[in-house]
Amino acid sequence: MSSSDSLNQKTWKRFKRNGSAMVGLVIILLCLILAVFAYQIAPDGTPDANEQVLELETHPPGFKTDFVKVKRQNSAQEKLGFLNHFFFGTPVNYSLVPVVKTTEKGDSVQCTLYKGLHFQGEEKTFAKADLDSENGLVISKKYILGTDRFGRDILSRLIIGVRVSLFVGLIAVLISLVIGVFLGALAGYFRGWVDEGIMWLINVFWAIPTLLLAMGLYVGVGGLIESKLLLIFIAVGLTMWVDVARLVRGQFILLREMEFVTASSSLGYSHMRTIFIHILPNAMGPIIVVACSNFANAILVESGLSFIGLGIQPPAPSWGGMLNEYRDFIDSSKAFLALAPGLAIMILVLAFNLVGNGLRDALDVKGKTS
Amino acid sequence: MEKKLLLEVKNLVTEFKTDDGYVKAVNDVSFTLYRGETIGIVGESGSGKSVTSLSIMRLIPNPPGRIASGQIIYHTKDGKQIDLTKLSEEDMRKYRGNEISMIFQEPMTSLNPVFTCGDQVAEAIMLHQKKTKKEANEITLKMFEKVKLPNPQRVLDAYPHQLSGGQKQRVMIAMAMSCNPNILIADEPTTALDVTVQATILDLMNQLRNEIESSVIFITHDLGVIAEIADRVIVMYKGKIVEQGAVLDIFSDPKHPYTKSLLACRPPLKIRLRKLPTVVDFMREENGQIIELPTSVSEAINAQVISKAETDARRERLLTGKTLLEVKNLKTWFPSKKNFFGKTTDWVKAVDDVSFNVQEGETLGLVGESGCGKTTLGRTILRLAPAESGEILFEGKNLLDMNASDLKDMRRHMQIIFQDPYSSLNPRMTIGNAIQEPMSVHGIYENEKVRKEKVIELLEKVNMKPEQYSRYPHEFSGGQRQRICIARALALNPRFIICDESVSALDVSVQAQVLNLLIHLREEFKFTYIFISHDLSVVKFMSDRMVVMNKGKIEEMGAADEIYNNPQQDYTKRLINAIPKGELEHIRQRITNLQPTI
Amino acid sequence: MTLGQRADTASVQAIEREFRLNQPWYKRLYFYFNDLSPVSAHKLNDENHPTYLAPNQAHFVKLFTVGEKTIVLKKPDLGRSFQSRRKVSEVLSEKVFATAILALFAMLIASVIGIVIGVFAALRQYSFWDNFILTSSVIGISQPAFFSAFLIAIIFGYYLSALTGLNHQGSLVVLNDYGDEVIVWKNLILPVIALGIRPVGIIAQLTRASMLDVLSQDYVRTARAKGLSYYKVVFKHALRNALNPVLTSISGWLAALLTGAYFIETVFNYDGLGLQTVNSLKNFDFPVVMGGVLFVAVVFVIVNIFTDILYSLLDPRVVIKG
Repeated sequence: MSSSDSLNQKTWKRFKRNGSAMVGLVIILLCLILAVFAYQIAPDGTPDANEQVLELETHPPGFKTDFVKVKRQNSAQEKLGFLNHFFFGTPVNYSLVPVVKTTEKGDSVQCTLYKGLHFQGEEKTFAKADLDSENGLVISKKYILGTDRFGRDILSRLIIGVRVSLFVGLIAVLISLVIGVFLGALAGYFRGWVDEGIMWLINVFWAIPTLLLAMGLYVGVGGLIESKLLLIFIAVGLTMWVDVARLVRGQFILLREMEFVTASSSLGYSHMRTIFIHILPNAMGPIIVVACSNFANAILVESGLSFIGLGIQPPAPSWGGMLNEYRDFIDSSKAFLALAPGLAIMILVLAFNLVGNGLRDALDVKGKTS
Repeated sequence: MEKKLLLEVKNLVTEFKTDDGYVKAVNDVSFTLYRGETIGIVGESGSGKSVTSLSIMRLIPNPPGRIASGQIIYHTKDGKQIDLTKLSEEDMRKYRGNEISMIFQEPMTSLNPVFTCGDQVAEAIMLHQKKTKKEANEITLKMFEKVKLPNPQRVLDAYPHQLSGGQKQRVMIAMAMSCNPNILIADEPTTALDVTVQATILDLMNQLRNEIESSVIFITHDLGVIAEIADRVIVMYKGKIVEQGAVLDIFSDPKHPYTKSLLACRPPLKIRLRKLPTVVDFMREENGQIIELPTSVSEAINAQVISKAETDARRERLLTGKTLLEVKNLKTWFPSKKNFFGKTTDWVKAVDDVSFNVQEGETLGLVGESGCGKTTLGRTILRLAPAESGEILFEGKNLLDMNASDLKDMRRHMQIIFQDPYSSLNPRMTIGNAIQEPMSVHGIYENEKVRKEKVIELLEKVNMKPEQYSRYPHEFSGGQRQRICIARALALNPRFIICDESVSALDVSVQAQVLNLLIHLREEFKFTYIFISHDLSVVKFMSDRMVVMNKGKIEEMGAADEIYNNPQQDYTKRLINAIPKGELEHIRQRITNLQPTI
Repeated sequence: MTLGQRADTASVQAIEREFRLNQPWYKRLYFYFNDLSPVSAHKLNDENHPTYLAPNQAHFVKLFTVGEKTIVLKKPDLGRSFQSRRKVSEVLSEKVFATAILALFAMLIASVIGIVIGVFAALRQYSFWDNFILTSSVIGISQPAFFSAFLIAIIFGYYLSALTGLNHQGSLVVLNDYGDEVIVWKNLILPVIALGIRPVGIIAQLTRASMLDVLSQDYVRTARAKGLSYYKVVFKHALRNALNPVLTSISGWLAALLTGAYFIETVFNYDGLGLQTVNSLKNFDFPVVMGGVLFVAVVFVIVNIFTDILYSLLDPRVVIKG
């Protein structure tokens, strides 16, 4: 094509004028960057941000303390490649011991150990040989968002957790698009008994909420599927295609009555050419809008499943799972710790919804089609 | 009898907000309306005629629209003058539906689908005449009788979707007339209706306004309709009034070149023309200034007349030539009812046992009202709709027996041009690609470079520019798009083309240009056409022979002029009588008939 | 797990047989659905067979016999809870009331509020209030149900408890000191609010879009041309038409909206179907989970059929195809 699609340019122009949609887009881009460079950005770069310091359980945001790093016994470290470190974090071969005061004495270091907010410190002496002295004997760490019940850094876990949300959203949208566009296009283009069959299928799945399907799958065939992540994908994929299929079917029914579609059969074009070159591109706008809202819903569903314990396996961090940990603190002053993961879910979902709404307005898609 | 002022529109300006600031849809419009008078406002799309009427009702959607300046002065019975543009919304409501009422173009969507017709009419009566529900229902029933609705008692309790288009428009008229308004504004009230229904509605309106003594503002794009109903005519063009005067004066002696071109570019019924005069014969526009050319309507028309001898000679030549297409006992039925097991128990017989043939080089006209099966027939011939039985022989080969690949080859020889210029091009494809695609799919010409050259050649053939190759359809007007569609149909070098209502969606001046183009191409490429339209005058202008269809069957078939001048079937006669002629003697006759009542 | 610490081999086997844990998963699935179906195949002559029906325990009518199996007509059987060994149908039916009340109130209140603010926003399109309602409704549908429940619980039920007099946790039906069941209506307030937030957002958006669409229709212009008052045009002519699509959409969304009840009950410790299901899931009490899932799915199917009928009553153009 020699000139750019001016329809797309127009859409982008209108989209840019929509302030809230642009905010949403920026949030999504930031989250993408966070997800890719998660282990570089997170203060705790160990795999799954799982550096546990039990003495520091549920400490408030902004808590700061010093540590000495005690080398682990029999730590046979595997040599992993750079990319592996980059994407899956760097394991450490020491454990962190929080200290209040340290005094160096020749070969050893005398420390006043920190034992928690309400406990007395304890004296202990470490041999320097037992300590890891890279970056200095004593290091200092600040927990910007506080720590969880295992003394892990909440901020780091949040950053790593964005991956799960985006990943689940992406896969769910891909699965729902592939199934939904295929079945919706078949039903809307060929009508007749094909349509009736697919509509029947759509109505059956329409009545099943994703959450219930996930539970049903877990109970029914959970023995077969080891990975809970896979279970989520199947549950989300099996329910969300319905939205896409209904929409695509509706679009195809509208578009096939357009004279340019009749023209393509009078010009002798094949069904495939008509569907993919002439009809589908004209249905893309609404499809993108519904994909955005499905992305948002998939994130919500994943967090919900994690919340009731059907989500991704610990210690891998997931926002819903993190919230779940604070359920028991509901009647204590530590409940505010649940704010961070809750807000994180909300902001990311909001971003996708805002972008979806912005696209809907920019593409002039009428109403909500679901 | 002294004429009493009823409404004065003074320097009205109505604008709409767009991305590029405010655009004036009505620009400095002034006219007056007297008691008992009917004025017709005529203009093409974008002329501002509808916006003018909505401005009087203060029904301009705001935002984006607004009345920017001007006055609309209404003279009440007791001599007061009220400027409608200054009234509060609440005060304006006392006039709407009571003193001034309105009928809209689309009867299908103008009635609320969830209330019965009776309720919707009674509502206005209860509101303005302070009647009880029961009294209002009685008045409604009387109104329904007055507008000649069949079985008025039933219509009272019927929902809009249970009535036909013509019946709905009668309900709308009953609603508008129910409070004996002083002014009735009718905005294209018959445009969406069949021509025979239009004739009955126009009769009804003429009759009612004599009875109720309302003044009428009748808005239409069709000069023929204006001739049937108006006392005075206002011609609008691009938001301005270009000419106004008594109906007879406008038709006999138009002053403005635009009025002249509107009169000249309607396909005439009595004579046969080589091509239609168009706007460019009368005027040019330079920098928004209209430059008049010294042509009169009769000069422009007379220059194109074909003699009877010439017509007969052409007909003779065609009839003795080769037969290109033979349709034998063709039936296209669609299932309308199915029983429990999915077996069809009832059919819609869209095309029911139709036989005819088309000679090579001939144009066969196919005329009929909506739902008569003409479009289905066209599509069945091209196998775009499934035939139930019969034969379609193209050069002796039965199209209905062909398999997919034979059919694909056959598509190169026969093409179709559709009705709606806005939906017949893929909005996501440049027009160049749209024209080139059929060549690539069928492997015509050696490579894409040659094909592109051919596309540019075709664009020039249909009076488009080569640099428009990589533009998208939304950048073009309806007439231009229709020409692009013609170019696309020509891409495969077909010999036989079906034009399915190809000019029906276009303004009359654009319609003339496209018709002229089709005629020009017929001469250059020796095309054979089947020309389908609901508009008998257009069909008659285009075709050598004409087929009149009704309810899926052929009513009458023969030479176009022969059928018009000497129709044999009752249906054909009714169809021809219903056409608004817009001829002088016709108008004179109507006005003399009216005289005693004024 | 049902036996606690003192499990001997014999009783383990007995349990395994009762719950068919000694069978492969696909057979268990088959047996489950066989029990569930009102018409099912059973081996009535072999007491040890998994499909054996004890004549003294189950009510059934023999239909006919195919080979070794007898086809019978019976009440659908959801099995027994691993944990309490009670019938799943009993366990669930005790909880239905509390959840139904919660869902009903939440949907009712959400519909009223959602429609009112949706109409309001549509009538003042592009105004400050329109933007405000639109933005808040997007935020409303973007928050996870458990998060808003959590926030509402700690703010109104914990920090402001003295002011509101509400609890952050509690059920609708509780046992009082005398062991009688009493209904504590105030325990319904916070869960209803938490459950209603998403539906309000969605209904408001749907109503707004539908209302805007209807307001641009020709028949609304006709109604105005009649001289009807603003309120008559909006509330008689426009609203009737605008609500029909909202109704169908709500029935479509219902499934997704009411699954929020699972989280809300969990957070508020509100004793209903949701809490029961989630707790059973944690305790691997699969028959109860499965029963709960199937029960709710059936309810949604019935609700969808019901809205179809309602729709045809409201819109004269729609005729139910039979």
